[in-house]
Amino acid sequence: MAATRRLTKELNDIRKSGIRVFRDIRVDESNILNWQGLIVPESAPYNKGAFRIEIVFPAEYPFKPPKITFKTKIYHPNIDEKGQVCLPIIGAENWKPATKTDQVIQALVALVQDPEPEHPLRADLAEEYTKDRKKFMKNAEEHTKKHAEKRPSD
Amino acid sequence: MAESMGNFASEQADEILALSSIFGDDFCQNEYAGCRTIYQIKVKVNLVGKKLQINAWMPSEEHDEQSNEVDEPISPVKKITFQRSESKRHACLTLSVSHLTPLTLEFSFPPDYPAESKPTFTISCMWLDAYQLTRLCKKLDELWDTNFRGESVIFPWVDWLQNSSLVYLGADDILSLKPYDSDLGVPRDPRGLPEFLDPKACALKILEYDFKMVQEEFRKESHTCEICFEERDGIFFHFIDECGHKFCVECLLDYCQLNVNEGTVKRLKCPEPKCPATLSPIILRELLSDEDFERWEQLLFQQTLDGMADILYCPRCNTVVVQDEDEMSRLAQCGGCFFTFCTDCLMSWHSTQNCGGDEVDSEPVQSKKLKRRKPKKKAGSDSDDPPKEEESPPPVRKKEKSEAKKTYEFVMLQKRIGNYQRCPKCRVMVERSSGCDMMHCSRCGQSFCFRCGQKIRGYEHFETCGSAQNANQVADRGRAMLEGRPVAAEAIRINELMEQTVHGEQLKLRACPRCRQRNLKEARNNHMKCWCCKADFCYTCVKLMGNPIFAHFKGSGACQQHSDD
Repeated sequence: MAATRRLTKELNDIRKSGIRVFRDIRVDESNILNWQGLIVPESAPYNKGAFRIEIVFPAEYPFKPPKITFKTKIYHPNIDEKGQVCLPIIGAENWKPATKTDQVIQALVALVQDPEPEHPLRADLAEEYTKDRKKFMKNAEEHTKKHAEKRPSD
Repeated sequence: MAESMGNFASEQADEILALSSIFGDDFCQNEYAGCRTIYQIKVKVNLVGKKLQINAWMPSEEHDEQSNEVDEPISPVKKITFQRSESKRHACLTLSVSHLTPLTLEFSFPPDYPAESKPTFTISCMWLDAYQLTRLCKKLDELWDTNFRGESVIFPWVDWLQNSSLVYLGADDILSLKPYDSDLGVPRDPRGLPEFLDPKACALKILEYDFKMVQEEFRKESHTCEICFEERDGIFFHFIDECGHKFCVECLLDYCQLNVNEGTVKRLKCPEPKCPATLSPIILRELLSDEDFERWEQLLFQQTLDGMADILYCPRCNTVVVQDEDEMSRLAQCGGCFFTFCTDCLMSWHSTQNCGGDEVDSEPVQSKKLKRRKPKKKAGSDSDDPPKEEESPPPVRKKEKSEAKKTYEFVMLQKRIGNYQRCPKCRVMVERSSGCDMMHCSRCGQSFCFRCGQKIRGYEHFETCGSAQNANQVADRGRAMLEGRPVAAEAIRINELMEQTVHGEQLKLRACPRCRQRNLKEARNNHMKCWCCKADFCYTCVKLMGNPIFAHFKGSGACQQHSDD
């Protein structure tokens, strides 16, 4: 119950704030523990598309962290082929109940826009990112154009 | 008596009545036989700004001489700083408060007050020295002489002390607390009574009082809890002493209970993001039930002990054993039963052969494929490997098994074991559940590298730890470490059983209360011995059992040793 009430408020706040990098939030009325939304990065090479993510909140939320998976394929050192992402702020050992979903999304967007090759989930991309940035940017941009969703027009 | 009180008794009584209604609890009176009644007012001095800086000076010798200027915040919220004076003879503790402990004005009325004499009074204060108090006394005299002779003077005095005294003393921005100095240079007014404390103790008292007052003010209003986002009255909130963050009591209780129930007591930190403060035992005592509090204490003790690298438990009698100082040595001897064992596999001591050398019979998976792969991955593994983890292939057990099944088992083994790495601190096997190569031990909290198995602190390590592509080779090594161990067989067996059933529902599984590995109940026996850490625990109540084991199942109300559930 506590989770539902808090999430309702958080959802309203996020929708009201009109945050531009996280949009088109879809939440099933019957299950507020499951969110889908569109990450709309503002910097290259991901600014050619948008990426759908799923946020799943556990029943014990906010005492346990939400889980985030990418539904859209992304060419990124910190996000693997299954869409899993390693985001320290929602790691079980770092999680603090007073962390807001808004902060989690900000951290996620920051990670997407600024890859952290020192703790990769895809070592090959991390290596490319550090050794041949030009090639990485080109590949990532092509990948984005090919696989990512359309950016919202407004 | 009545005569000596003269004609002013009623005038005095009126003033007392008025003061008592104005100051409420801060006003009190004491009657002593044969003396005049003494009245007391606790005067809360109002700060000019919102905050007052307090500098507490003390001789420098008390503190270590290592550095000239220390500027470390002692408390993350209050921002107390500590500095040394330029002459290096004094040290200064600086803090900022919004309330000062009250000063005390005690007075009594002479019979001819207010017509002729002023009240007799004393002022006592914790944070003013004799010189400052002398100045205050003089000022009160002056007020009487010039403005209030013949009138009720107590309220104007208190009002002046509350609102003008700090400015008068020049302490409206910074209040300095200095060590006691008997030589004032001016005659000392006997009515000024400094409540002498050393500056540090005084500063701490003020800090404590300030904290209490901030809480009291907070309680009077309603606030939004940062956990449930509900607006509640201040009285439903709980302050965390160390950092001053506050949350509603219900949320804090849920938070504590969840972590105590799940055994993750080391994660019980202030719920505020990035706040490193821990929840004090006092808060937990208040929030948790007796049973949960006891469990919290036990878990914390256990986990602290488990987190110590050189602490082990005797696999036979469960006594705590301190390991040999030489980390490379795997030899340990129990002080209780003198059992000598290997710290890696917890089996009887074996000096030459590898762990599990003779136990391999129970290992279900031995394939030729596995053997062939070995030399290859040895070559690829890191050269700084501790020698104890380099293990040669265990003796081959020739079992009648179809090639297909062997292959299947090999694939399953690789899938599972490839996800394990051993914690370098407490040596429990940790499964990689999600995320990158930074692992966090669920038992002792140590962070370590999945690739090389070394203790690490931050992501910087990965810059030097070779490329992540080595990870697979390291996983191979993890498998090599495990395959000779009978314990791994049990983990695999349980995993397989769980896969065969829906979410392992029909399985009689219990997580070990010490190392949290899953254990399977054998037949009807409720005495569980953890395959991983060898702890004895009860299937029914999931508590560790002391020695002797049978004592746990004895007596009325005790758990049953054998049951079908």
